[in-house]
Amino acid sequence: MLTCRDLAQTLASDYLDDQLSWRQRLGVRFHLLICEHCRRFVHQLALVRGLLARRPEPPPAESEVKALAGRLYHQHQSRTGHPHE
Amino acid sequence: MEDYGAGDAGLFDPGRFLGDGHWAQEPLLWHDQSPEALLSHEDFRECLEQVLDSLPEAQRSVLTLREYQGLELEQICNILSISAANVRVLLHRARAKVYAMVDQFEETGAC
Repeated sequence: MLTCRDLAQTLASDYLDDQLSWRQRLGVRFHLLICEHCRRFVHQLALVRGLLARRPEPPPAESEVKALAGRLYHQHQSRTGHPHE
Repeated sequence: MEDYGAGDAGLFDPGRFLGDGHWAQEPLLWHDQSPEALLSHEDFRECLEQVLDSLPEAQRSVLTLREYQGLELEQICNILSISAANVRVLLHRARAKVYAMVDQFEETGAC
């Protein structure tokens, strides 16, 4: 019989990623029907997944911005032949 | 890539469960029940970046490829040259760490 520990420590992620066999999936679904605590845990673990998917992209590092600015500057120069317009 | 973060506690802490496998204490019910609600807190966004930065490289790579880039597990296996079983373990450990951070934030307002 599947326990809360089994679910929280190994099966919950695989359940959300649809990586379980039909037998395991059935076991998890049955457990979730009878266990409010695990329902809460799986719901909140799914929320963590959504959280990471919606996380705003961190601003680029200063060095990346400078490198991009440098590339754009050189492209502009090569097209116009002028350092500034 | 050999760092699977095997020593992580968090949700793997045996103290969270009774001998019979039931929760020793019920999981905390979070006040914020949507990603948008959590991400609306500036402090929370900082905590999220901190916990992602603190993950072992292998866990962070798998988590980023799966959740941020939206790749399938098989694609992640190919990119990182690791087995499907390892991808699944790394992914669960990384999610568990983020889960533990959210738990802490919801309980204390800090991480």
